[in-house]
Amino acid sequence: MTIVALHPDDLLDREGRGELAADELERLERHVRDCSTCRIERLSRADFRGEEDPIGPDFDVTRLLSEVLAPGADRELLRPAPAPRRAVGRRLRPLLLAAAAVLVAGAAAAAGWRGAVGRRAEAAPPAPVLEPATTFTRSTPAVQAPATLAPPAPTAAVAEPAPPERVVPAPPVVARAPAALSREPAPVAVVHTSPADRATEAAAAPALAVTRPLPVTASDAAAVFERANRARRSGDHPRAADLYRSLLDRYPDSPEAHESLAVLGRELLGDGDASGALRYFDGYLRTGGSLREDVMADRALAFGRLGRTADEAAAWGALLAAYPGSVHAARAAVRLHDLGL
Amino acid sequence: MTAFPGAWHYTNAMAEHPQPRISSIPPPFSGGRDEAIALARRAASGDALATRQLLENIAPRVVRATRAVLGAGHPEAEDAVQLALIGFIQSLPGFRGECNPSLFAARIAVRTASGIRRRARARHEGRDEAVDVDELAGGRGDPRAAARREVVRTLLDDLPEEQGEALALRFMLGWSLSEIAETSGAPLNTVRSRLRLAKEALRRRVEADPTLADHFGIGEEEP
Repeated sequence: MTIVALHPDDLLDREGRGELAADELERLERHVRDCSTCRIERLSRADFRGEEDPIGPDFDVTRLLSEVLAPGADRELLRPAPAPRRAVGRRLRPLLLAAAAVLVAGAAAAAGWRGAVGRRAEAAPPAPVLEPATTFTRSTPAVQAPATLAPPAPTAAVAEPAPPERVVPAPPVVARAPAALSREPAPVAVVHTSPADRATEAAAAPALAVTRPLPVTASDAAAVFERANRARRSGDHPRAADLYRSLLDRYPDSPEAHESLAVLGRELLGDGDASGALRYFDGYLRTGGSLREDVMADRALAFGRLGRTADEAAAWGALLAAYPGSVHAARAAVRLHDLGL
Repeated sequence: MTAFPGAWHYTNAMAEHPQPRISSIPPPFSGGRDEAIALARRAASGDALATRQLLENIAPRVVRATRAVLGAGHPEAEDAVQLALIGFIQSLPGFRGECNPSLFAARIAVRTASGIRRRARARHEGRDEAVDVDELAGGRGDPRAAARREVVRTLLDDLPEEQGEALALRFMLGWSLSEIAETSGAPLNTVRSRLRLAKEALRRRVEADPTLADHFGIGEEEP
């Protein structure tokens, strides 16, 4: 029997479920003392268990389901598509809306389900039936490459910079037949509507106008900052930099602008523009803040990238003087040693 | 501040046009495994109500799986959930009912999120690795735990798909070996072998980095 077979997988499982007896815990402790593989596994599993609640307020599952299954999506299938616009982060919604439309239509007809827009459901006749229900009769690979899934699609969430407090109408969310779900011919959604249905739809139009399209309110500092962060994390660095700079121009006194100095500086540093980064780091350090320690380290790093060794040494020294116990202390000490100081 | 572009959109809509709370929606399906499988079969046959109940039932697991793989606050988290839900719906006709549908959905979510991670990483190639902007802008938390989680996540980008999936299901979602085997349709020993290889790769990566080794307490084994 190999050592692998002796790894106490069952004990690790039971520990995760909080079911370990004292003697079992002792056995597990004894094993991980000598087994680095199990120690890594045990720590990692505990780390992921202890991670902040993954379904926090910023990720509302109820909202997500209500949104993608919202009655009315069937109507949107029939709307002409506006000219394509860049849609970061929301490009898949129309596809799911198309699938959801099939579900919701049938659900409303079959069970009179009252969902997130239940008031409308109460007043409306049974939802029109869409056909064919292609997504449920076709067997396709579980996961497709997003490139084949997501043609650029307009969404209400397209976030372009807007002047402060300006309100612009959002383009309607358009869910087209999911042509890109596979390489097969795109299914065509057909809505059967009787004259009575159409009359009821017309009567319901004001309600639709109230709920969709929704007004897009203007950006504030937090929203611009969030968009900038999102662009940065998605790899769109030029757009991120533009948004951070826009934030600094438009809301220079906001906390987000101040934090942008540090983030944009680090962004530029990461992209190889050390001298540009230095300007933002210096701007941040003029007033300081909770990121001061990190920015001081980044500033030293920037000097190093520029080959300004004297400035770099001074910057690392300043960091160590200000934060002797800094998480960057080891790095600073190594670098100072390399610089012969 | 909201993490996703749709959140404020929805919030505004709710504020301006209050709609019924979610309590007006029938509660999610909460039956056992057999009932869940039967529900999935009805959904696969085109029963829209069953499909909705099924989606409500699996959504939390899908969200959790995608967030575990991508990390909290990932800009593509919501896309990953949507993509996973689409993948789940597409896969229903091929679902053989050999496991709980929510586990099946979570497995799809792990694969989906792993793919998104790989593509995001490809976009970031060429960046200065010494400069981690996300670390600066992200949450503070326990930096050691964050570093440990991150090394597992980045390893997923490099492992063969089956190994990465097994590692994610076990380390991130806490699944047992039998649950992984049941859901993936692989023999238990195959799952064990995949995990062994993945864990060896993780250990090598940890041991190669003194800081990481310190975070994991490697090198502190008793003589």
